[in-house]
Amino acid sequence: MKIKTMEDLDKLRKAGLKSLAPNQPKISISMSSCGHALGADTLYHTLIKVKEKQGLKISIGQVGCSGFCDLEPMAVIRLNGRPSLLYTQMTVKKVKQIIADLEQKRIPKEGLLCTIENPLLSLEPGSELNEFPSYKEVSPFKNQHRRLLENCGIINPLSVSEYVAMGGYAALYKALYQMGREEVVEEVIESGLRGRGGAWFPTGIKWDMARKTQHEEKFVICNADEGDPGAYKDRTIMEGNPFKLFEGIVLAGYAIGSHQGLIYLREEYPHTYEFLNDAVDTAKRYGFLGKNILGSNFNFTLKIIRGGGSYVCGEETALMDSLEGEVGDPRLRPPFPIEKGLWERPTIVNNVETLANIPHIIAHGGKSYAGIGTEKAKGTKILSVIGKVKQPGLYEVPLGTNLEHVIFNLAGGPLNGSQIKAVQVGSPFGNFLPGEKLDISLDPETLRTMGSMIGSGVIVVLDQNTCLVDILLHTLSFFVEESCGKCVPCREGVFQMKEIMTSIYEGRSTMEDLTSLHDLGGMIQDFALCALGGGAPSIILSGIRDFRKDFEAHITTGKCPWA
Amino acid sequence: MEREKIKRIVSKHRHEKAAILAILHEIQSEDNQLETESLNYIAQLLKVPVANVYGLATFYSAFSLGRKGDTKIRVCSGISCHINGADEVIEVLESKFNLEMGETTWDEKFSLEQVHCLGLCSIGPNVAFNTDTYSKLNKERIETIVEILYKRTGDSK
Repeated sequence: MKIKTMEDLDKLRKAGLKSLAPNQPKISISMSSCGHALGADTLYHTLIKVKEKQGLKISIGQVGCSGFCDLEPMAVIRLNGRPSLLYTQMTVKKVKQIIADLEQKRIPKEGLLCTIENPLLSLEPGSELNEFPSYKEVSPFKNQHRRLLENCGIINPLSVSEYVAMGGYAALYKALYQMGREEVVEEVIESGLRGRGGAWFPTGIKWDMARKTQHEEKFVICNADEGDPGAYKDRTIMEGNPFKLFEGIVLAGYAIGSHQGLIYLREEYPHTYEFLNDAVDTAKRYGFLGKNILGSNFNFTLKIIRGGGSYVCGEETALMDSLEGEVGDPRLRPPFPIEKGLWERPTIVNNVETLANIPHIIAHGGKSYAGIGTEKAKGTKILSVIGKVKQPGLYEVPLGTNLEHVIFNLAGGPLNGSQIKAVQVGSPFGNFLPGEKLDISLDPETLRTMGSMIGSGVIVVLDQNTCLVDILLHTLSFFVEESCGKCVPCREGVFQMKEIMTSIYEGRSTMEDLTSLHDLGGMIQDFALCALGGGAPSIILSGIRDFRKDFEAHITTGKCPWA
Repeated sequence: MEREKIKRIVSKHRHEKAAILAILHEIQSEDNQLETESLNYIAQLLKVPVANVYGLATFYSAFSLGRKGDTKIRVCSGISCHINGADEVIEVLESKFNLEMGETTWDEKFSLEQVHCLGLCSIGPNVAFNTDTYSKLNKERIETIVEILYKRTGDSK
């Protein structure tokens, strides 16, 4: 059924509401990549088997990842007329118990984390659910501001109707029928949204330049080459709420006057590739992609392209090379992609998280969007907090949130009462900050003054049992392997830094090697062609400054004290 | 791969040069490698220099000139997995299969390689066996998984 009018959209919304508040109990298993890795498939198929065997009157569905993969497999249970219930770390045994409870008309309590209120459904919890905390007051979801991740782990990611029921595609309808291209761009400018891939360039300004470029053919590229080790926010958005991303991409196309979009997806996400293709087919079927979108005269196609497993292809000019069937080779800019991009046509390249912000901006207005964040960085940021913390995962918070607050109050602080030795914000390029210097506002400006960066939002927490030399060497190996080899400072210089770091790690070095690292690093920073090479030395140079004891321990004792 | 098959894949992509990565993906996934013969023929069909095709085949880590195993074992070496004990998992895999990183077993059943991040950073260490990923691994768990794999496919040592 193609959605062509407001009435159609409303019908779809009602169908979605029904699906979110079904008449008979519905068990949905979290089936994203992380769910799969922790046994969601087995659970899903067991459920189907049990249902058929016992002739149960329940339905079985799926949801996406909520960003807290260690709580997978999760399950969402919807009971007639009540808020949904969220269960964590499900096993076959627990699921069977849940079914037994449901048969007895009892609320299953095993593994129940919280209730999920849905303001759109206006459901009353009823007294039997009062004893359980709600989604907004339970860890790890409390104290977050989930704008982008609001539906992740809650709705069926492949159900357009559920997305529409949660307010989806209202922005696209509004743009296509009530706003001109220029107005869409103006809202994005007013929102203050800046690119979340790591460069933090104002999105609206980029779009405005692309809009003004005169050309019949323009491209919207969604950069889904999520290569920073430790980052999985883009995967979570794509697998948890793909239509939100698609809506953002189509809005971008409408704004700049483009009819073709491409999602460049990293090769390491095979499950996401299949999934996104299914989502594209679904969106086409409902008329949210293709010809005459939502009954308007706007056409837009979207294609998913798989990368080849190269980190440098996350850099926008290299990414376009890859799309043209070449090796990823960063180019000097100008010309910028907005003038000469893919196939020399005007092109905008935006990150997944950036584009996922667009529906909110258009639906609620740029001004309302800019209501949270810092003076220069508006909106929320998804942080991937990993390493030695009690509750690793994705935390979406307003920009400008305090780093210490994120680590201690949201992620639960260090494991087993140990102490935090270092924190890297903006991995892999961000400097490691000493554990006692975490009282920092998480925004690009503040971090830049500390010689660090927010990057794509990866926060790596290390405790006192970690050797910084080991971690720095590990990160340097990554840079060496991902160097494209085009310029000498990166290809040879970073390689030599790794050689010296290896000799320090193995205890075969002298204090003079620290000076060599310093000189070599400075040279690479000055002369490397792109941000990959030029950005590599910083972690080593700041590491020698802030964690000198670790280096000295290797050099003087001849071995790694932590090994 | 036989020329007919390559021809079919290339025509499916309408001889578009931009689709070359997709073409290489298809051949790699079927053959577990990109043979020189195949590269030459692709270049001929797409009317591009062989050097370009060879360049792509060696630049992108998804492709390989040498044969990969039927089961491609990819160990995540992302920072989170590294912190949480990926080295221990790597040791088990290297010794069980008698392989070093980048190598393939003699019977071409298994190959072992590192990948920079599988995007499952709060449940590492992670290892992917083709598209099946296993998480929260430690020495014992990976040993059990390998034993089960051996039972399914036969010992490759």
